[in-house]
Amino acid sequence: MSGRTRHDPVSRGLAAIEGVTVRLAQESDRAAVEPRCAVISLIWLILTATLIHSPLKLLLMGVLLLAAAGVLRADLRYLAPVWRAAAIVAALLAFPSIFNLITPGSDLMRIIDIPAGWRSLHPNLTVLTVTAEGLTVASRFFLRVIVCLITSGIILSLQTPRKLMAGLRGLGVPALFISVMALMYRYLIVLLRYAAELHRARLSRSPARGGIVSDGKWASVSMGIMFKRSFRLAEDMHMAMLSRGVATDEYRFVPASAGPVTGDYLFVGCSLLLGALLLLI
Amino acid sequence: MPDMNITDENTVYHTSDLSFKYGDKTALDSVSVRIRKGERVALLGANASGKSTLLALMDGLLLPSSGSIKVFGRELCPVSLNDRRFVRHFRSQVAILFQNPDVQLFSDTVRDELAFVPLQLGLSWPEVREVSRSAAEIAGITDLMDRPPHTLSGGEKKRVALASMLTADPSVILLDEPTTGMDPRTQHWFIELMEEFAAGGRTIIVSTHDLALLPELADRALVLGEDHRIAADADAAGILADLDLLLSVNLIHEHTHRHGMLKHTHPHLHAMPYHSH
Repeated sequence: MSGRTRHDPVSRGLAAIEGVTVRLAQESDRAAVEPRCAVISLIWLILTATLIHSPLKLLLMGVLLLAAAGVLRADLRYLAPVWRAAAIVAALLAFPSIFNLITPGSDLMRIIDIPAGWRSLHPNLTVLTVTAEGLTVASRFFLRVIVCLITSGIILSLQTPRKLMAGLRGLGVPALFISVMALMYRYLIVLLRYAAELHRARLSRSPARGGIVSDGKWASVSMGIMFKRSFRLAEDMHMAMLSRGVATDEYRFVPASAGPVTGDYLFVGCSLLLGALLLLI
Repeated sequence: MPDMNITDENTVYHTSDLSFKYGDKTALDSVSVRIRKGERVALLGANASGKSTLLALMDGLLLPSSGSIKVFGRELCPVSLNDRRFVRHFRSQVAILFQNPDVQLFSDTVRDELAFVPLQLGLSWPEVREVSRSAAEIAGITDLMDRPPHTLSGGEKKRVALASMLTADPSVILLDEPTTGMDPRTQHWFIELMEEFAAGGRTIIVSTHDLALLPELADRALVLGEDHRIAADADAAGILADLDLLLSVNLIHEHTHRHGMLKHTHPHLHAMPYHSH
């Protein structure tokens, strides 16, 4: 979907997601690290982020990765709509854990006295506070999400998803698993188109914007329609695959590359070293 | 009418009392036909008469509820479709073009799309590239090779889907409503391409309800009625001339209007070659 889009949030959101998926498929301006090397680095760095407990270390890892993105000239800007949405969701998920209700610990800030009637939920809790441990847990969760986003952003700026999947296959991941993933990725775009069409059809028949209730009803109806369409699409697609000679247990991929060169080994080496250093210090 | 019980080496498809049901809804009922090598056959019928179902059965994508279907003398059944050698041969010889090209185009780029079938058929990478290049030239899509399929227009998608089908160099081509979504220039190109294929000895089976294109696409027509049975099997010109038959299977409708004081009724279909008062 190119050109100007309508100013309603749903149209903008759908257009933004489609823009990202189209950009992901473009190969022209990639530094092109060998796919298997890219996959190994991605998995190792994400594993490192999940093993690090200190928010400060996670922050340091994020800064180092952003510096690496700069050195590699990785363009991460096009992922901004996805990052924004993911960061907001991560923040919303992490937010409740700052309170003593979820994470007990040393109080940093008193928020409110809990009314007597509500104390049956948690008999020992008389006051709602923000705790130091809660802040640590929330910031750790939030920073992990951000670091993982930066890592995947860098890898995706170096290789297309299709080649990364071929790289996974090269590392011995079962073909069935990858073929399902490849088709999910491919048909995400088709389903986005359906969603955009549904939304436009609704706009064309609605002279004024509906309220939250009518928007909610429309969203649930649309989800039902999308489910039915995706089910039908999956059936048709499976037939199209069979008709084109696919045997699911020996699904063949376009060869990812001729093989790693010195620069690819250097890339994996640096990734492994960065992860190891962050885990050891 | 040929004897339906005889299968010779020139027979590509032979169906015998072929029926198919979606749940308890009949899609095809007792269809018996024989299609020989090099024939150009049109499956004619109104919407939901069973044309696409018959094509899916011919491509081994559905299995009959009752009756049988044979291709190259071998029955399409779970046993044959689990025989890898047969499946590889069958898939390299029979290709289908789906009505909706979106279901057929999976890959990130047109180039990968064209590499898909030869890769699955086990060709080496240099062969895959050569076959893809040749199919792209035939379909006139060499300038689209690096484009993602979902960014193409409807006509371009059809061309890519057709090129992808050609990469297997099939001897039997199944086309489900192929001209849907094509502009007039692409339609003209498509018809010429099909004529070339037919001249090269390929068997072409095309489902359509576009009677205007019938003489261009097929020499023989199988007409499916709304009862999902074969209503007629004859040469295309004969079918087009039989207005009572076309009316009865809902391929044309009667149209009543006035010329001054005179009330006038005649069979009608827009763009039909014999549409005259």
